[in-house]
Amino acid sequence: MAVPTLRVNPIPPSIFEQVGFYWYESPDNLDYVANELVRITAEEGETYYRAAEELYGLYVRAAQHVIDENLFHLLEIPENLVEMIRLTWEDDRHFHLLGRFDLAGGLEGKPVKLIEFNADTPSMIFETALIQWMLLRHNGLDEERQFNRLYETLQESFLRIRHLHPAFAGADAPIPCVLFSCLDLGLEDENTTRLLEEMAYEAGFITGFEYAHDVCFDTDGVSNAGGDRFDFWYKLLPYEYIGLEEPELAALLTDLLKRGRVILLNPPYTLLFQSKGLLPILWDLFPGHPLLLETSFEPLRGKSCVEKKTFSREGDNVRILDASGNELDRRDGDYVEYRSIFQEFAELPADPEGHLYQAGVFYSWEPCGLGFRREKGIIHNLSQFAGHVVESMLMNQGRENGK
Amino acid sequence: MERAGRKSRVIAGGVFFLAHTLLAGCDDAPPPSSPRPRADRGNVLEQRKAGVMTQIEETAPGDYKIMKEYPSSTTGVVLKRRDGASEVIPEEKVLGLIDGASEERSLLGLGTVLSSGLLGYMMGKNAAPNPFVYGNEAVYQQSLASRIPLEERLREEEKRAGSPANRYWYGSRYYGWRYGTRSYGSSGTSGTRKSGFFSRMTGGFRGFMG
Repeated sequence: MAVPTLRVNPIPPSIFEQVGFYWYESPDNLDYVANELVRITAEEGETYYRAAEELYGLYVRAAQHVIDENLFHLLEIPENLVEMIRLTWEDDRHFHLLGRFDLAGGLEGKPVKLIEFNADTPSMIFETALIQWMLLRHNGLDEERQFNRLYETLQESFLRIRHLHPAFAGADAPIPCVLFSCLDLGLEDENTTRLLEEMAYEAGFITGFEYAHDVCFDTDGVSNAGGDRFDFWYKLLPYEYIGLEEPELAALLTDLLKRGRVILLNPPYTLLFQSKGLLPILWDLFPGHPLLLETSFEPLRGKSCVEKKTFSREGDNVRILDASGNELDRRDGDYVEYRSIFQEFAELPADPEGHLYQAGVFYSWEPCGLGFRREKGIIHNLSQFAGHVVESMLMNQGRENGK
Repeated sequence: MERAGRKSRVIAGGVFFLAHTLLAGCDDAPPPSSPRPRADRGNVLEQRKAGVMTQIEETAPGDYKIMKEYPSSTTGVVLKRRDGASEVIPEEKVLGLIDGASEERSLLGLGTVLSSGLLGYMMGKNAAPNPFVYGNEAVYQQSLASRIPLEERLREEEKRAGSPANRYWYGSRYYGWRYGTRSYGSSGTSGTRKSGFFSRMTGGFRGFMG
C-alpha cells in the first residue's frame, strides 16, 4: 500500500514572500513545498504524538545516564561544554524550548521508529507551523484537520519559560528581554529565527534580533550591538561549533550561566540529545524497545544499516550499507571528522511516484506539530517539505472537485 | 466571512492573520500567470513593525468587548459575531473604524472599543487601556503589561526612522516604563565587551539547522 496523498493548489510565491518564507524553491528548481499533502488518519497522527512523548522520556533517562557515568566523550561533546551542560541540566530555569524528532514508519501500517532527534537547532519550523496551514486554508480544507499547534505551543512555552524563572514570574515581575540570533547565512536561518522572535514578542516578551557576530558579551551578560541588555539569548548556532570554533565564547557563556546572568535557548544540555552518539546508548539502555532501531558504534553484523556521524546534519555524511557491509548509497558532507554510528536500516513509506516520506514531530513540553520531508533517496535539508491533512469527509469532496 | 462554527487559527498569531488576508485576496483575484519579480528583502518579519492583534466579540447587538489582544508585527482585528460567524478586518479598515469612533452612539461601539484598547494605546488614543472594554480582568491586565513590549518596538521603530516618524504618532503615549531588568546603552556594562564571534563563518557556510 502506498502513502496516500492529496493534490493541492500551490500558494503563489508572492504570498510566500510577504509572510517571510523565501526558500520555496530548491536549487534544482523543483518546488520545495510539495503540491501534495500526505493524507493521514487521526490514529496515525496520535501514534506519532505518543511516540514523541515516549521518546522524550527515553532521551531524558539516557542523558541522565551520560551525566551520571560521565560518558560525554562517547557523544563527542567538547570538553569545554561539559560544565554548562551539567549546570543547566540541574536547573529548571533552563527550559528546552523546541526539538524535532525524525521518525520512520507510522504510515501504511509500518511501526514508528526513531531516526534521530534534532534537539538543538531544528529546521522546518516555518513550514510546519505556517506553510502547511496555509495550504489547507488556500484549498478550502478544514483548518482543524492537521496535527499542528506548533505556533501556539511555542508561545505557551515562552510563557512557561517566564514562569519558571523566579525573576520574571508573578504579576509585578519585570518583563524579560530575549535576544534572537543566527549567522548571516541566508533567509532560511534568519526568518526561522525571526518567526521564533515573533512568537516571543506576541507572548509578551521584549525581543531583539542581532546577527551572532554582532552580539556582545561582557561579565554582566549578553547585549546587542547598541548595548541593550538581554536576559535570554536564543541562538540558532550549534553548541558543538561554539565549543570547537569559539572556545573563548564557551568559557564566557559558562561563566555567565554560573552567575545566572543569562539563560540560553535551547539550553546547553540539548547537545546531549542532539549528538547521535546517544542513539547507541539508548539502544543499550532500552534494547528491543519498539520505537528504537538497533544502533551501535560498530557496523551491525548481518543487517542493512545506515552510517551517520555524531554531529552530521541535514542528511550529510550518510552511507547506506547492505547486510554484508557494501555501500548502497551515500551523501558526502563536511562532517567526516566526527565519529560514526551505525543504525539499523528502516524502510521509509513511499508514494506511487517513489517519494520516500520521513515524519518530523516537534516537541516543546509536549508533541505539538507534524510535518514530512520527502525524497527519492536519502532525505536532506533540500528535500521537499510535504504538509499533511487528517482524513475526513472533506477529502472525498476535494477529490471530486479534482483538487 | 467565515462559516459559523468553523475554527480558524487566524488569531493564533499575526502572521496567520496576514497569510489569511493575503490568501483571501488571492481567492478573489487569481494571481497573474507571469511570475512576479522577487520582492526585496523586507517581509513582515524583517520590518519589525509595531502592531496589535485584537479579537473582539459582539456581546449584545452593536456592543463589543475585547477577548484577546497582544502586540504583534501585524495589525488586525478578528471579530466574532453573536451568531458565531467571524470577520477578519485588515489594518486599513481598522484605522477607519477608529477614526469613526467619535460618531458612534454606543459606549461599546466597535471603533470606541478599539480606541480604548491596546490598539488605541499604540495610536495615541488613550494613555492606558480602559477596563470597561475588556471581556474579563485577565485580558485587561495582560493588555496593561503588553504596553511595555509594544513601547519597546515603537521606540525601536522611531530610532530607526531617526524621529518620531511613526504614522501612529499623534497622541499622548506615556513614556517612562521600567523595562524589565534591562539597562540601556553603555549603562551597566562592566569589563571588556567581546563580540565578533563566528564572524569568519559568515558567508560561504550552509545553514546550521538540522
